Amino acid sequence: MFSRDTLHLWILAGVLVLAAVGFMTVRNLTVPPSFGQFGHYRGAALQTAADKERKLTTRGDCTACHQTLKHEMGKSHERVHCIECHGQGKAHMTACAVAKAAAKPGENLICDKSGLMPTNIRDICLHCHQQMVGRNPKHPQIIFEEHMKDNDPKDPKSPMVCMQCHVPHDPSQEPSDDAGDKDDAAKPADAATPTAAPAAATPENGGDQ
Amino acid sequence: MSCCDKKGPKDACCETQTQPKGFMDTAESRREFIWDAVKNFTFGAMTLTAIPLFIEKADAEEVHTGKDGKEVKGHTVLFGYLVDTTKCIGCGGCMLACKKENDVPDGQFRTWVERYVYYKDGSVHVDVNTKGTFAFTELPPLDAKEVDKAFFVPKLCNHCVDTPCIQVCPVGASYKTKEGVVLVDYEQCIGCAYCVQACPFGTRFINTKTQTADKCTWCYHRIEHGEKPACVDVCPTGTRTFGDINDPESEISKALATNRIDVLKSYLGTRPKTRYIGLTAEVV
Repeated sequence: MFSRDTLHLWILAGVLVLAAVGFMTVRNLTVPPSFGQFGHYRGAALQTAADKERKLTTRGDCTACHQTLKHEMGKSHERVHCIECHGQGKAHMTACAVAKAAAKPGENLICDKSGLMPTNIRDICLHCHQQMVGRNPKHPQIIFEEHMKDNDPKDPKSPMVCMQCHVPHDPSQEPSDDAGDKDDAAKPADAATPTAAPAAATPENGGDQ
Repeated sequence: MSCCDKKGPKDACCETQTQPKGFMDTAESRREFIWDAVKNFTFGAMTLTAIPLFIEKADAEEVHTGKDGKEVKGHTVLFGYLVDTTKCIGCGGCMLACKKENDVPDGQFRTWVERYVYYKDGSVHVDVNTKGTFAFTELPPLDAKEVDKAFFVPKLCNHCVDTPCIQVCPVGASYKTKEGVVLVDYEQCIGCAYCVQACPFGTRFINTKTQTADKCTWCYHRIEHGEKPACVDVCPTGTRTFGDINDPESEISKALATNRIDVLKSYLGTRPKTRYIGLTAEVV
């Protein structure tokens, strides 16, 4: 059919074509579909990354309902995130959403506040205010034992000892007698029974940020 | 010259010649030619159509609705991060928040806080809390009398402009978005750890849960929805600032414009987008 020389050329061409088809087949099987959509990566990975669940409660999540909270926080503690002391609020938010859906207009909401009230405020305070090498001297710091001696609080052994003299939301204020029982819910609809919270607080929340 | 060019009856001359088996010279070779042409055309056409079919099929398989990069107020968003080391008190809230937000396994960190301690004898000591719980209050206390000065330096992925980690990835699992965020495609990553070695800042690691490369994403799942990264959100002292550096009105742009800014290991030329205030020569 072909001369000897032509045949060799045709064989070479055939091998090249087969290799090209083979390469395309393997490439299409192994390279993910959206690869190269935006750049040298899988385009669908962007969506996966953006759709990941957001776990931490944001400041906006808290102030959406507790609107007076922004003004209640003193200047020195305005940057302290609610979750540093109160822990994660996702369960509370879910419970509130359910309660709101079920509540009649004007009715007082009772949301599940379990685990939100810290049981060991001392450790949380010392987290930032314990004296330590490396901390800026302008930042208020104490050596706990000396601070107890100097100030002689009513109950120095209590894990809530700091609150006997300081208001966590606004350290510049003097604590009132009902400190700790004060309900910080913003809207009247959000007012929950103050006694329910400390009773339901879980121990692990103390170490929780 | 052939015989046909000679004088004499043409037909007689040509008929007597031995026919050379040449191109289209006889009825037989013409058949061969047509048959060859049909065969070759068919194979060629099949090959040519097979390739675009493969490609079209691949594109149609997945309709991806997301897009890369976004425009706000007429400019393209480019994210940046600023760490003011003079404000950090080493509380470790950022480390804890990051762990919870991103499910980082125990003993591994996407962000961490180092303490640089300068002793009076001239030595410099760096320590870090690797427990990832209550920061430096858990470490044995240092004697303040021996210490000249000390400060904290939070570390995280630098989200470089020229990224060594993306360059070395053999499977295209490491990438940078148009907003300047360096990410890992966890489905595509084969866990070879080449990028872990390539990163000069030690911010990458092989996640012990997923066995893929892992790193700080600036909380891509939060910033894409208008939130701040978890570490920035919880920082009680404003050490960490995050925002759009292409927007001159953003908090970070104003801070970058009014402070003395440095980056880690600038001599490597990776052009980090995580900037620092208050670094010293010893901080690397």
